[in-house]
Amino acid sequence: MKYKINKIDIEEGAQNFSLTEDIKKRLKEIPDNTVLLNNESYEYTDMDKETLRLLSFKGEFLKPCPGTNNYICCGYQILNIGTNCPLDCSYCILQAYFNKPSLRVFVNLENELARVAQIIDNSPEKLFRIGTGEFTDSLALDEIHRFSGLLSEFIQKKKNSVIEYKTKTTEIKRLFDIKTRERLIISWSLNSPYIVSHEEHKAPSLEQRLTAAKKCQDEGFITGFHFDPLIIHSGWKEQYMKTIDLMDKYLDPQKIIWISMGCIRFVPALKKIILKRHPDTIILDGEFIQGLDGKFRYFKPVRIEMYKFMRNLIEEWAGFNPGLYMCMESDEIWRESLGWSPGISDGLSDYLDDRVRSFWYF
Amino acid sequence: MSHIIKKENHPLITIEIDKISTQPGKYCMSYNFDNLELVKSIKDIGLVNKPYIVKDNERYQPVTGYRRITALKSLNIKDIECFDLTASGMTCSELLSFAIYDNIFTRSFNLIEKSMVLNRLHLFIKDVNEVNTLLRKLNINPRELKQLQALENLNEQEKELIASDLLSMKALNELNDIRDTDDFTIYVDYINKLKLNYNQQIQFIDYIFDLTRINNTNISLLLKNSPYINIFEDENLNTPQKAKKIIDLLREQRNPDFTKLQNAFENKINKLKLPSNIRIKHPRFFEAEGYQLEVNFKNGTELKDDLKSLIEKDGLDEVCDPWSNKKP
Repeated sequence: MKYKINKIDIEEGAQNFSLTEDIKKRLKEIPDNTVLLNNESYEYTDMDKETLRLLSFKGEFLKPCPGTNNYICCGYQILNIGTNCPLDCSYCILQAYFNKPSLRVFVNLENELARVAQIIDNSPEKLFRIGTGEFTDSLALDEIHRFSGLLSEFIQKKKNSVIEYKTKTTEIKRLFDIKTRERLIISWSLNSPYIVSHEEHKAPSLEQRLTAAKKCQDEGFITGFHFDPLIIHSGWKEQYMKTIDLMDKYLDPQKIIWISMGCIRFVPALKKIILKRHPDTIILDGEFIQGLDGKFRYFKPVRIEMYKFMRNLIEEWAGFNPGLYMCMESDEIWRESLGWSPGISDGLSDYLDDRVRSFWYF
Repeated sequence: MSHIIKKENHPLITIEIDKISTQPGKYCMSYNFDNLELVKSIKDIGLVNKPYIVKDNERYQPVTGYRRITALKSLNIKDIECFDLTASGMTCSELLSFAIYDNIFTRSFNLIEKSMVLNRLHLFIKDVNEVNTLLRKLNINPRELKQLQALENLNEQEKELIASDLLSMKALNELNDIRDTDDFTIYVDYINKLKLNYNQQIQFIDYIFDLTRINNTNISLLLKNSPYINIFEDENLNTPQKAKKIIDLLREQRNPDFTKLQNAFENKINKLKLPSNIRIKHPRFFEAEGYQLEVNFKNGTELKDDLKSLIEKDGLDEVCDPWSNKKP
C-alpha cells in the first residue's frame, strides 16, 4: 500500500459489513474508531487524505454520468465505490464537488450489487459502459478494498456491460489475479511530464504509469487512456510530444480501446479552492472563458488547436484512430478538431459502444 | 406587547443624559449615520419624539432614539425627557421588536445595521415565525444570513466601507485572504477612487489577483504601469469612464488573445458600415456556434430593402470566426 493511512474511521452502520472487518484486518497496525454519522467538521483546505472512512452508502450505486449541459457527453455509467482520492492533483474537481473530507470507501458495495444487476438486466438491449474512476481513483486503494476482483467477477455475469478501472497509479498487482480479461478495461489518466510532476501531486510518474499499462497489456488486458485535463503551459507541444514518445516506447496501440481528450474546465467555485490548496499551480494561468455550461474553459480556438495537435500526434503514432473522443465538447469543436462529429451525445455513445464491440463479441 | 400601550407602563421621566449609555447596546441598530440634519432640527425646534429607554444595571439603555440621544449629547444638553420602559414588564425580545418596528417604517438599514439587527434577533427572539416576518420586513435574503451576521464583527474600517456602500460584501469576501495586509488597503483605495460598482469591484479584484499571481508582482506595481497611470491622469475622463477603461485594460491584459480576436471581429463588422438598424453580433465569448443578425424594421418592404442592401455589402462574405484563416 503506497498511500499513507493514519487512521480508520468507521461510521455507525458500517461496522457489521464483512468488508469492514476485512479492511481492519488488512490494516491491523492502523488505529480505528467508530464515529457518529456526519460528525466531522470540514475546512476545505484540509481534505484529510490520511484518514480512511468506511461507510455504508445510502444512495444509488450505479448512475449515469451527469455530463454537462450544451456539450456532447459519452453516456458513461458511474459505479460509485467511494469518494475522494489519496492523490492530490491541483486541478481535481473533487476538491469542490464533495464537501466531506477523508478517503471514503463504501463497504456495502457487495450487498448492493444485486440492485446494480437489476438495473443492467432491465435494459438488455443497452450496452453499459461502467466506470469506477469518476469520484475516486479506481485502483489507488484497491489493495485495501479489493473491489477490482469483486467487480470484475460481477461484470462477467453481466454480458451487456464492460467496466473501466481508471487510475493514475501503479496499483495493478491484484488485477493479475482476475481469471478473465473479458470486458475489463484498465485506463490511465495521462498528461505532459511537466504537468505530471508539478500538478499531479503524489501520483506516480508518467513512465511508472506507462510501465504499469504495458504490464497490463502484456497480461492480456485492454487499455484506455485519458488526456484530461489538457493544460496550456510553457512548451506544451514539446511536453505532450514527450508523452506520446513514452507511449510509443511502452504501448501497443492495437490494445487500446479509446483515448479521450478534454481541455481543463472547472466550476467557478473551484478556482479559489485550487489557489488555496495549491498556490504554486500554473493551471489557472491560461485565458478562460465561461462556457455554455457555466464552467470555465479555454477559448474555442485554443481548444481546437490543442485537440488538433493531440489528434495528429496520436494518430501518427498509432497509425490509425485508436478510438479518439472528446469529453464534454461541442459539435463544432468535434468537427474542427477531429474532422467528424457524433452530432449528439447518443452518437458518441454509439461510437464508443462500437469500439467496445470491436474488442469483444456480444 | 399589548401592555406597552398603557401609559402607566412607560412613564415620562427626566434624567441626566449621561446616565444613558451611548455604546451600541442590546437594542441599538444604528451605524455610520450622519446626524447633522438631526442636530440642526433639534437646535431649531427641539426634540419632537421622546426616546424610549430601559434601565440595565446602573445605566439606561436606549431602546429607541439612539441617534436622537447622540445628537442631544453633541449639543451639550444635560437633561432629557424619555419614556422609561423599565417597569413595563417587557422582555428583551419584546423590547427588541419594539425597537425594530420603531425603525423599520421610518428608514432603511445599511448592511452593518442589518447585521446588528440579525445578531440581536438571534440572541433574543426564538420564535421562528416572528424572526421570518422581521427578516421579510428588513428585505433580508435568508441565504445571506450567515454572511450578514458576521459583518458586525468586522473591524471599524471594513464596517464603514460596507455601511457606506463603498465595498460590496462579495468584494470583501474576495479580499478575505489579504485582509490583514497592506494590499487590502490598496485595493480598497482604488475601488473607492474609481467608485467601482459591485460588479466592477469583483472584476477588478479577480483580474488583479490573476495578473499579480501570473506575473509575480503586486497591485501597486501593476497599476503604476504607464497605461494605467495615463487613464488615472486623463483629465478628459470622468470617474465612471476611468473605471470602465481600467477594467477594460485589465481584461485585455488578462485575456490578450481573446481580446485581440474579439477586436478583430468587431473591426471587421465596423468596416461593413451597417446602418444603425442592423447589427451583427457574436455569441458570448464566441462559444456557441454561429452569429446573430439583428434587424429593426417598420414593415416588410423596409426589411426587404435592408436585406438587399446588406447582401450587397462589400466585405460581408469576409465575416467568419476571427481565428479562422480560411474564407468561408
